[in-house]
Amino acid sequence: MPYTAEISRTNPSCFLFLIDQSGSMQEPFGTKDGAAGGKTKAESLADAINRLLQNLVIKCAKSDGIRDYYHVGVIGYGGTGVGPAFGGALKDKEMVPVNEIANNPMRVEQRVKKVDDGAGGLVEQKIKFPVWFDAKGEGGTPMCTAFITANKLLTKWLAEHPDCFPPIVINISDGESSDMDPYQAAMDLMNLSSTDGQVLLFNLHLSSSSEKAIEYPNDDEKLTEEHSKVLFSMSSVLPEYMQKMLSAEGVPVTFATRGFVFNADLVSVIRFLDIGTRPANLR
Amino acid sequence: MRVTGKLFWMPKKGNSIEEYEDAAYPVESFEVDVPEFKCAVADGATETSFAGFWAALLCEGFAEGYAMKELRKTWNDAVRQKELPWYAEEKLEKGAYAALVGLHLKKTRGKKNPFVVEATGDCCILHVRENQMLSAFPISKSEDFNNSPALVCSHEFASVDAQMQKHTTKGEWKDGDSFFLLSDAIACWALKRQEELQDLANVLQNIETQEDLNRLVDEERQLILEDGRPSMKNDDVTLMCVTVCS
Repeated sequence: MPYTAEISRTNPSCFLFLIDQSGSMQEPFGTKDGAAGGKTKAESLADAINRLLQNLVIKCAKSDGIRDYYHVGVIGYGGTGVGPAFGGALKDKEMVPVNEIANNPMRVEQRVKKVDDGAGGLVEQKIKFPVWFDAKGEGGTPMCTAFITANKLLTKWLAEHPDCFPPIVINISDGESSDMDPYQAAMDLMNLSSTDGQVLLFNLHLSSSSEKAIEYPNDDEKLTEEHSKVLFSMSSVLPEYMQKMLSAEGVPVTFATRGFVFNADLVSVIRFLDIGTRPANLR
Repeated sequence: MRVTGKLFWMPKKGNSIEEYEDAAYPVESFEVDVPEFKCAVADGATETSFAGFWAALLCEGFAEGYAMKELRKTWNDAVRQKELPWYAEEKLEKGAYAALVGLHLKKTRGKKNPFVVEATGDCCILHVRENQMLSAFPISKSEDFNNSPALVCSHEFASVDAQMQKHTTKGEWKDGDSFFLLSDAIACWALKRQEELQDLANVLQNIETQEDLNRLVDEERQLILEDGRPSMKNDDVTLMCVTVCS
């Protein structure tokens, strides 16, 4: 049965993020009420990738430090081309163990979040918020080239880790590919496989539209934008174990449900990673 | 009442002994003559930090009768003694989680000698008499195990505690009865073995040394079933066998 390989330090899996850094990402991000003055799509993307990396790191954190259950790469695509997107100590690195991500954010900000006070109420608490990426956007959207670059990177990774839990690729974009039709390149990427199954490609569509957020749809009927439909068509059908986990959280799923979200959060993907017991009542 | 206990454990394959996050109390094999006796096994959740320490506190707390509030304070005081990197701090805020099963045996003057079991999560206890399995608690079918049980948290979060379910059962013990306290991986395997071959009591009674457990666990971890998964999940394993005589 696919997608059952144990993820461990001796048999790690891999996350590859593709982030759209094109000029169109400077447009406003859609708000549910259509209010002006909100974030740009580029700022929403920075939030999304920072949250995904933060959650992935925390997932792998233990009392004695970070366990390298995953290797992580981030490829940026935009006016300056296609390539590794990290800065600072990670600059130019294609793929690094998760502990290097953990220990090399660009900066760690102090933020405030509301937490359970133990008596049914909420209190404000200062937290450290790591930032690896700031908003960036210029030039065209070479998404097709990004998929081809991802293909090369994962072909190499899979040769070195033939029995790994299949790599997960997360593409975050507004969908306006400007080089070529990315469909075939996305299919080629999804056809790569380890002995445990095919590469999973998930898409997070950031749009200026104020349409309601959509998570894990079964078909493209409710997707009103053409770019959404394209990204949906290039998204993997969720493996059975992810369907079950989503279903347990009350999300309606079928065997056709795909790894696609529209103006929503993909952090749930990190929650679905199985590295051992996860308490049902974990906050 | 004479109570003897054998305790065996081994870490997840690929992990070091220091990374073992199950716990038991008493912390080693024992033989006591007492009117009342308590013991426990706990399993710290992989996805949380300082979980092994929390599991050990829960076991000791059950056996020695410490209040949950006290245990939580001990955990929090201990883990916050030094400055931690951002990710360790964030993880601490989420707390540690663990499953717990505890056995309380009593000797009375009457004919019936009672026992009480408390359990939260997926650590299990099996009651064996004359080489027959009488009951399994709180999980009695292998298919009921999953990777996301509701567990005991080191923080007092109202929302978290509300989901935590403590199960209790009572019964009677007779001379020569055995109780096996198991962490989840070996418990799930054990129930499946019983469902398929009905010889579990015999298999468990034959584990008399640490080497016996190592051999069994190694074999079952290597045995791959039709669905591609190992016969016993690669996880920390703890087995406490308690035998009681009046």
